[in-house]
Formats: sequence, structure tokens, C-alpha cells
Amino acid sequence: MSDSPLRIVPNKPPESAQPAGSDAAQNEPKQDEMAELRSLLIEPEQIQIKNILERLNNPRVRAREMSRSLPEAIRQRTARDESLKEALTPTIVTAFHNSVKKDPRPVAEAISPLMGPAIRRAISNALNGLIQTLDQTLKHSLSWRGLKWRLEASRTGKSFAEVVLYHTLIYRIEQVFLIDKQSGLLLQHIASGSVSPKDADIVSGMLTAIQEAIRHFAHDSFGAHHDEPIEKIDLGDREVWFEPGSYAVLAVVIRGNAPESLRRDLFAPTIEGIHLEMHETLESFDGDTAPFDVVRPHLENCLHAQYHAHSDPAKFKTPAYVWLSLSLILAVISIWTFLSWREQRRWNNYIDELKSTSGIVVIETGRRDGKHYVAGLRDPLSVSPHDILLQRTQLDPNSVRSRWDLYQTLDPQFVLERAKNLLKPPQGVELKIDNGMLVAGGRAPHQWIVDSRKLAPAIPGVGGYLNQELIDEEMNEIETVGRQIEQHVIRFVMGTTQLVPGQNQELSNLISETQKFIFLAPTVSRRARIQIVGHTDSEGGEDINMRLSQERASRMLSLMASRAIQRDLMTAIGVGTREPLRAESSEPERQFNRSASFKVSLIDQPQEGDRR
Amino acid sequence: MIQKKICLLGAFAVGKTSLVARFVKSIYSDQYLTTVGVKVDKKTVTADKQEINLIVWDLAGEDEFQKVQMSYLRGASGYLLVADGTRRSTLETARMLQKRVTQSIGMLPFIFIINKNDLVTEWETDDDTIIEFENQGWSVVKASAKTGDGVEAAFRSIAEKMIGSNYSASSPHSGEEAE
Repeated sequence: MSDSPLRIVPNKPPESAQPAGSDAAQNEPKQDEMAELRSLLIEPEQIQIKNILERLNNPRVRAREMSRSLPEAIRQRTARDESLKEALTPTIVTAFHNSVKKDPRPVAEAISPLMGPAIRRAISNALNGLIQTLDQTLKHSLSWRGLKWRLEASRTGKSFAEVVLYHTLIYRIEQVFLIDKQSGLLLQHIASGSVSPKDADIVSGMLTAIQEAIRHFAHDSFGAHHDEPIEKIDLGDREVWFEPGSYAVLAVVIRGNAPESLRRDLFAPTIEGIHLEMHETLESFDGDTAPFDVVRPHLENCLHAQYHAHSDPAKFKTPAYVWLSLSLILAVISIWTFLSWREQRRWNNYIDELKSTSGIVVIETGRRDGKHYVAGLRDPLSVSPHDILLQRTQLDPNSVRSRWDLYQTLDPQFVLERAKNLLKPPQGVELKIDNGMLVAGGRAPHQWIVDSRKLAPAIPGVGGYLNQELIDEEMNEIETVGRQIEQHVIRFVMGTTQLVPGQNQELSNLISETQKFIFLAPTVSRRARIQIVGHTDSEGGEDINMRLSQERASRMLSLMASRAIQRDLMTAIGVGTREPLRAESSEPERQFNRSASFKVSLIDQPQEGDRR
Repeated sequence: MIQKKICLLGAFAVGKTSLVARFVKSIYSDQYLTTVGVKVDKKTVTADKQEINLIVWDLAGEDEFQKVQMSYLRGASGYLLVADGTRRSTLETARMLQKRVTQSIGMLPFIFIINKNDLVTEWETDDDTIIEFENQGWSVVKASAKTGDGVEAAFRSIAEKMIGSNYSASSPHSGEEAE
């Protein structure tokens, strides 16, 4: 249609269109007649033409007119061929792009009611598959039967989940194929979430080929009709069911034993529904499978599973004994943990105690043959580790193995203890360690002192032995007695060897003290020696005095011998006036020099051969 | 995506299976050919700017004991006819097979592949014979299973023919060539 408005040329003959010049006046009445005639003849048409022109030239009116016929025009054109679709496609695609580019919201809002359910469905299918497997696996992991199946899984090399499924499943529809009957081409396919299907296009072809092969075989072998439909292929733990329609066939892969009613209640209605919905598309199918996306919900409807009543994951409730066992296990673990912790703490305390004990060196700790183990060194004088174990810990002694090697520590406390143990000091003796030296003080029997001198330097840890401050008890006593003896002076009558009377007590004391001295001497490993010294006063001649003093000493010796003092322990000498006891300034003092005095000494024990 | 069923047929041992083995996606072993008599593979090609899934039905070879089951060709949009250039008899088998297909299924686009092009010195097939076939309207492709030459081209040609063709199994024509 041209853009310029249409014009209409008055429908006049050409000659009458020309002015007639001189004939004009004459023609005028004719023209009027003509006009009248014309108006009579074609006025209604003229009005119609005018109306038409108005409709054509007025875009508003034209649009209104076209809007009335457009839907019908599109319908007709679409029915005839594809050219309208092809013409519109680029415009619609561009418009769609532009709309999304400009503001995607309207498009998103428009398709969201479709997308939501589709996505939900896809996700829930995927999750269902996963949950089914998980539920079954979890449920059967803990039971006795579960253990048996686990054994089976490891024996057969299948996954545990697979074995569980095998035993608990009555049936499960794993895959559904919608296949073009004629060509075997796959129109649509879905698989349950837990199944990983092989290339469905190829499988679809092969399924069709195998049906064909079986039909040939049935025909050749049993004379069956060529078009006899195959209903089912049994593959052991799986079956493939075929549900044919006029153009397409439903092939359903089922694991387990599905009831025959499925065919009547589910598969037949499904294939019929698909044929009803897609009849024309199926009839004219030429390889384009895209239109069959819409039948997915039909196929998804077929995917389901049924488990043994007591195995249905939906009805599954963890049995009480499982909870009980779990609680029991938990309790046992808790108690065991607590006991182990307490045992370990006690053990650590014991080891700390050992380490802090003098004379014990811990070298190794740990566990051996399920028991605590400790090894180290200990001084025999230290506290016994076994005693520590018994008295200071609550450990079971049977749970502890120990190995202690003995050693001697140089710790002064232990050295002292060792010295005491060895020397056994009598009461009155005090031992101490000073600068590594063993120091003895106090009073001790002579024999102990002698022995300790020999033993002490040999005690481990003793650097030397100091005993100067130690008092020898026997020696002390003997010295006292000796001094008492030497105090005695036995006087004689002048010029004689006669004792001055009244000295009996003195004499008696002398004898008993001398006897005691002699008796005590061996206790300090000595022999007593008593020297009797005779004296005279200064009157008289030297020779006489010397002889007299000798005689007095001898007289004294005899006297003492007669009183049971061994003679051979005594010697008698006279010193005359050479060793006066007093200065002789008076008579009483002079009388003192007419006497016998005593000197004692101790000599080493005579050898065997010296005895006379 | 567009799917098309094509069949692969020829005399026994012309190397059909080896010819396409490395060009198709396969999930089944060659044993299917002897047990079921057919093995289905897949090959995706681009023809006329669109991707086409060719579902390839490799049919067991024809010999005096076993005839190719024509029912396997039902619904096919085309086929590859294979002969062995070193065995003249296989060309005759191909000619006979083509006739049988046309009789039982109808006119379908096909490509005639003469295999073993790598052994051209041992060929019993001369150029005149090939020209003769071409004169009858056959599309002849020389190919080699050993080198792979010509195979991809054959798949592409059959796809293009099928896309451009008005023939289909559901509307069989007869007495006319596809070209």
C-alpha cells in the first residue's frame, strides 16, 4: 500500500471533462441534467466510495479495522505454512532481548511461576535419590543384618549402599525412556537421582534393536507374529518393561519385583496421556526431540520405589535397642575415659613423687604389656618406691611394673645415713658430714673408736674421718684411776722400811685403784705398768738413803704383790733424795719424803712371744 | 537437537565396523553384532549449520547364510552402504542391498563407501565401475578404515542429504534417486 492518500477521479467521460468553449452556455442545462442524473444513478456508490476513502486514509480507522481481522489472519496464515513464524521470529527474538536488556524483571516475573516448580522438582528428585540411599545405608549400618551385608559388600566388591538397596528394595523404577516406535530414536529420558545412566540415545536404539531381534527370533522359532509386542525383558535383578503406544513406546527400567498392576495403573495411562497431548508431534516426528521436553513430568511421575514394609525409609524409626546400645556404648566410653584420665593422673602423681624423692632417679616411664612401667636408679637407703606406690598413691600395684637398679648417692644426707648404718655409733656419739668429711664427736667406747677409724674412710661418699673431738670412755676412766694412784704417798718410819701406822685406808685405796687400773688397761688394748718409787728424806748419807729408798720401794712392791697385784706389772726403784716430794721445810714435810710414790703407765699389749 | 537414525550395511567382512569404530561413540562391544545382529552407536555431526545426532545402527554383514534384516532399517533417515574395493563381489552385494532397501523401506538417502582405499593396488574395482555407479546417481566415497580417510566426509554427506532430503521412511518414494 502506498503512503500517499488515495485520490478518486470523478467518473466522467473524457470529452465531458473538457470545457466546450462557445458551446458552454448551451451545454450548461445539459450539465445540470447530467449531474442530476449522475446523482440519481451513483450517489449511493459515491457516498460509499467517500466512506471507503475516509477509512483508508485515516490511520486510526485503518488500525481499528485491521485489529478486527488480525487474529483470524494470523490463524489462517499459520495454518497454511511457516512463513509467518519465520517472519516474526527475528522481531520477537530482538524484542525479547531488548526487553530483558532494558529491564529483566517483567520477564523474570512472567516465567518465575514456571521456573520455580521446575527447579523445585529437579532439586527434590536429586535429593530424594540421595536421601533414599543415605537413609537405607544409615539404618542398616548398625544392625546385625547390617554387619552381614557389610561382609557381603566386601566379598562381592559392591558398595554397601548397593547391597542394602538390593536387600531392602521391593522395586525401584530407575529409568524411563520414551522411544519413537519406528526409528528407535529417543524422545525423552529420565533417570532416578541415584542411577548414573549410560548414553540414553544409544541405549534407546539398542533397546529397540533387541526387541526387533527377539521378535525375529520368536517368529523364526515359534512362528509368532512379526509385530507381536515385547512386554518385558528380564535381566535378573532388573527388568525392562515396554508399554507401547501408537507412535511411541515407554521403556521402563525397574530394579526388583514390581507388581503387574503398575502397567495398568501407571505406565499405560502415562503413554496414553503422552499420545493424547503430543499426538500430532509424534505423528510428524522427524528427528526433532525438543518438543518432547514437555512430557518430562509424565515420565517423572513414573519414577518411584517401594521398599519392604519394615524397610520403608519414610516409616523408619530408629529402634529402641539401637538407642539403648548407643547410650550404653556412650556410657562405657565416658566411664572408660574418666577411669583412664584418673589412672593417668595418679600415675603422673606417683612419678612426680618419685622424682622429688632423694636417692631415686627416674630414667624411663611408659606403658608395657598394658601396664605402667617405670625404670630408674635408687639408693638402698632411699624410701622404697614400692612403699611410695602403696602409701602415697591409689594405683593398683599389680598395674605397675618397675625396675630399679641400685646405686649410692653422694648426697650428704645419704652419706651420713650410710655411715650411721655401717658404724652403728653408740649412744653419746654424734656423727655429721662437714665438707665431705665424716666428723665424730661425743663419747665412745674405745673399741668402737678403733673400729670406726678403720671403717669410716671406706664408706662411699666419705672424704675423710675426723674424730679428734671424740672422747675415749675407757681411756678416760683409766687415766682418772691412774691419776688417783699417782696421788697416793705411803709413808715409812724414818730410817726403816716400816710403814707409818694408820695408813691402812690409804693402802687399801691404793690397792683397789691399782687393781682397777690393771683391769682396765686391756680394754684400751694396753698393759698396765706401775712404777713404785722409793724416797728418803735428806738426812743421812746418800748411799744409805739410796739403798733405803730402794728397800722401801721393794718393800712396797712385796706388800702390793701380797695383796694380789701381779708382781710382773710392777717395778720398784729407789731415788733417794733426788726426787723429793716436798721441800722439807718442816718435819711433816720431811716425813712426806720418807715414802713410796707411784707412777702408772700403759704399754702396748705384749706380743705372744713376749710372755714370760 | 535433531536426531536421525542411519544404518550401516554391506557384505560380510567389508570392514563396516572398523570403518566407523573410531568416529563414533560406542558403549557396546562388537559382540552385539554376532549376537543381536546389530550394534547401536552415536555420532554427532554438523550439517547445514546445525548439530545432528546420528544414531548409527551397525547391521551384521550380509553373506550367503545371513541376510540383513530389513526391519532394522525401519525409521532410518538414511544409510551408509559399504563395500570392499578389493572384493568385487561386495560391490554387487551393495547393489543388491540398495535394491532391497528401496523395495522394502523406500527411497532413502545413502552414501556408498568403498573401503580399503589404502590397498588401492589390490583393488578389483576400476574407475569405470565407480563411474557407472555414479551415473546411476549414487554418491560414492572412497574410504579407508586404516587411515580414516573419507569416513568423516561420508557421515557429513549423509547428514546433509538427510537434512536436505524430502525422503523419509514414513513417506517412501520409489523409482527415483535421491540426488
